[in-house]
Amino acid sequence: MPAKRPLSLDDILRYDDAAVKFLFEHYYVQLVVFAKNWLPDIEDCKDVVQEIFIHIVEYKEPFDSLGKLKAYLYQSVRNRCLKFLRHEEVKQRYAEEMRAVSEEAYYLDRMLEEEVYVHLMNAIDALPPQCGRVFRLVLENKSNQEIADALSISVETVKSYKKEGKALLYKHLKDIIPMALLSVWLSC
Amino acid sequence: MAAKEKEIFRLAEIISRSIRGEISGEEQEALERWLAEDEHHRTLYASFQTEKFLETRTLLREELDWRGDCRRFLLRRKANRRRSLVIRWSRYAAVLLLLLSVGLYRFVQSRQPTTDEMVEELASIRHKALLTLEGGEKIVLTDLNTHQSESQRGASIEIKDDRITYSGEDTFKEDVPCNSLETPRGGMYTIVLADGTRVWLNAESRLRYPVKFTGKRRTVYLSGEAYFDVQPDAGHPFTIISGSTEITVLGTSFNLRAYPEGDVITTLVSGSVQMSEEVGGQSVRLAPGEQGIFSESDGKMRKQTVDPYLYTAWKSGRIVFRDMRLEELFANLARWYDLEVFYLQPAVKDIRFTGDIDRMESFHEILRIIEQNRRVHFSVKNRTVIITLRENE
Repeated sequence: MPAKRPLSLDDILRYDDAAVKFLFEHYYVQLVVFAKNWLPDIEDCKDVVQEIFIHIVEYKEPFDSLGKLKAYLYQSVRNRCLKFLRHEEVKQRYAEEMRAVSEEAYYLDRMLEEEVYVHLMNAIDALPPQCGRVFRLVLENKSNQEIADALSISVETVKSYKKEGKALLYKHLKDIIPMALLSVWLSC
Repeated sequence: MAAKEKEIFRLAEIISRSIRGEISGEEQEALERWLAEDEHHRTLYASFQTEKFLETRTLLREELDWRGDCRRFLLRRKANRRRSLVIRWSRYAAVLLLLLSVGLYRFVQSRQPTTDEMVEELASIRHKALLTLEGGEKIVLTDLNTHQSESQRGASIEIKDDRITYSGEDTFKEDVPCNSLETPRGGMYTIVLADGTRVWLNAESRLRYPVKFTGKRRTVYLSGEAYFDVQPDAGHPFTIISGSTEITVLGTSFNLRAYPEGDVITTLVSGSVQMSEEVGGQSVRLAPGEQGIFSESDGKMRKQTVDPYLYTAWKSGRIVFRDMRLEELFANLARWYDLEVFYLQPAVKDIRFTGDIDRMESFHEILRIIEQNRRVHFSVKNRTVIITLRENE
């Protein structure tokens, strides 16, 4: 199978099917999860993100960098979520509460969380394959036994991969964060 | 871009690098400045280093199927485009109709889709199935189903996108209604049964199941291929009956392939299953990574160790084949894309191929990829693929 050629910004701005697929692959899940900070129902979140995709694709919104595209997507998600909340009167109170704790700070913090998450997961993907697989299953809340079954390896192997993975991911963690947090990590 | 977002992107990079211990001196300073700014920045930073931070997000993401949503998005887009094209055409048509009322009909009729369009179309219409309710009422399910709810004597059925979900209270004791879900060639569908068990039904397959499980056992019937993610419930074993073969499980994930013309193959991903067959009374117990095969032709049951990914990748939208004979590969592709396949020379059937392809690719693309090994040539006409050996090597 030939390696997939990465899409350039120009390719994306064509907004053809390949570009749409790119948007879904790289931003969709992240933005839906981001929208969940405002809207409790995941289906509403999906709708919000897809409406934004429809908009930029139909109007062929121009951007001069991927960063700007991403920033635009985040902004639009927030705006649409707030609009959605305003539409739904019952949830009005929720929206106002939000504004009380500074809507702007809330928005930026949630965006930071998403971005940090994406970076860390990319790091997990860069781990040796079996180790990364174990790690992902750990994050899916699977027990050692379940992971061992799923990957046909022993529980002992699972444990050692977990340890190795944590060590690789949080390489010099101990220098930066309090030991208390670290021990919570390593104890499981 | 608003400066604020840009700053957050940069900050996220610095933070993840600091967590990973790859931070530079300059970045460390920026991070410390940010941490000093506000108490809640420090709280936030501490939260990034808890397992819970990664965990809750990962779990939420698990629920999302970007490939499926993307496919539906593209289908809707295509449908809309076609609709607006029809509207535009119909305007011209009204004028034309006045001028040449007879010729038009023939003109519109002669506008047949080209082979390419048709193949493209085949590739994109994947999630479709026929749901038969107890009374015999049939519902056609496609990728574009909008939200719809049905009820069957107290059990409620939710249809949305490419999935139907059963739920309900214990309103009936015995005599539970049975429904069946059937996919044609080229179809695929996902169903969540009343106990929470998820079933991915591959093409040309049929699943019969009660709308609610009562009694000691949970029993369903399968013909064709399906991947089961069985909801654990030790008190109520889950049994799948397929011809004379029976697979009993407590709570596991596995793939069952039982097409009428082939062997019955169970591939276990996790947990444990018992596969038995009533005529000869044979049975095998499978461990993860093992596969039980019951051959209808010689009536023997055996097991072997395999890589489960090869047998279950279809449910995540991938076409995977490792050192697979062309004939076997195309038996699958034909089912998946609803195609007829002809081999001009019998020898081509035995050529072996390896690949791992996204099912979202068009059928053309898939053929192109397979053709790259320069040993076979394909010609496609409507729904027929003719395969010939390349002579030049």
